[in-house]
Amino acid sequence: MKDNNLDQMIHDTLRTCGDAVEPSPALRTRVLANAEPRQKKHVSPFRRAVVVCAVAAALAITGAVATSGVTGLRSAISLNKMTDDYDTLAAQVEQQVSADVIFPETLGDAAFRKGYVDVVEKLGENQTSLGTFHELTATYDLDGSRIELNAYVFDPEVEGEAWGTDGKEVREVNGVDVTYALDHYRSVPVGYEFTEEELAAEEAHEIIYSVGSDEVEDDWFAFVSWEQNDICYFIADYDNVFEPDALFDLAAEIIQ
Amino acid sequence: MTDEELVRRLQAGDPVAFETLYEQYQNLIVRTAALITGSRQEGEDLAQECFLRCWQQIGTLRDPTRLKSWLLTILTRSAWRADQKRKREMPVEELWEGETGESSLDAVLRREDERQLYRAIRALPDKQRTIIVLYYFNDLSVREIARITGRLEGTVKSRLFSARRALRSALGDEYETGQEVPDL
Repeated sequence: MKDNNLDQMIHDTLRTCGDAVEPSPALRTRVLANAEPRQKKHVSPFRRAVVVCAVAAALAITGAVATSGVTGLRSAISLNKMTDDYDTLAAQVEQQVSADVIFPETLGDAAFRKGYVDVVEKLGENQTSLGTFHELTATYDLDGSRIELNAYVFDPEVEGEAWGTDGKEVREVNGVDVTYALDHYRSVPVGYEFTEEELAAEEAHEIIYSVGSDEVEDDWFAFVSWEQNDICYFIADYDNVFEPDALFDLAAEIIQ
Repeated sequence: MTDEELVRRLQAGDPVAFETLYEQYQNLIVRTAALITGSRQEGEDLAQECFLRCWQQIGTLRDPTRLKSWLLTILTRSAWRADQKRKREMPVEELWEGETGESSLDAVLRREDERQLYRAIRALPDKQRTIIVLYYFNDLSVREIARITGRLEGTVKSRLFSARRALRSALGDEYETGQEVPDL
């Protein structure tokens, strides 16, 4: 028997089985009775400096969060957790982060390249551990440029207060408030002595420091962030190739 | 009512439009869900979740002409979530026992080879089975399935290829021909 016959047989078999299924009257009642009036969801701008996690093997991020006793986050990238197999990572995301995370294989015209699920540690005063959570980091390639997607379950301890509106823009994308920001990051070696000006800049939320790099490095990263269905998302543009509109469009692909 | 008009009214919060949506899409959603899950009851549970998510999230649909694809996107994601949950909670040997007897979806099949094929479809991994259903039952193209499932077209083709190979194998030697994914 030719393959076309197999195709026809699969088609006919599924048609026969599927078309014999009639929705029950009870389903109609269940669906219509449970459609409650919608409430528009308002999401406060939140932020967390996850994007700097990639610049060194282990970084403590200071000043990234500001509530509930959490003063920083620490993430250690384990190269053995990195995978370039999308299905493997998707399964890890479902099991370790949340089945509600929307993790696409493509983001705009960019294709998934590699990623991992890592454990992020919440730090309190004196670097004491206040617990951990799992986070997806996925890298996408677009003509050699790198886009990174982060996702983790909303945690009120982690989502700090809004850092003001300078350089930020909030747009409603498909009913969800998405925040765009272009932030200044400075990575410094362990033991680095911060100047008064640097501490003042941090206090004014003009710069975000991370500790653990080999030398002092400055970077500017653009990203969009939002919360949807109790999942926090970040899309970071490491190479600063995207206009804000393009980043909002990428967010819309996930929010849709 | 066109999908564009329906979406416009749904986004305005019109409950009558929601009823219309249900009437227009109940067969598509319930039947697709039943085939993906292999169970009428689970199919209805998934369909309920799909319609209610649609009602709550209709504001996120930008292109009203994509209503059908969007509903199928919600459905497949819900199905895969449910499948993950079931795998965590149920012993492996019970995973695909599903409904039997007259309530089973394949009770309407008269030929033994069709029943055999249906059992082989049920035994496929959930994502392969979903793609087989979308391709053969819903008559969607590889490109449309890629959009709905958020996968690359190459991934969809690969899963179709693997699924068809498994189905050919389950049916025996007389189906062991051809390798390409056909264009339906």
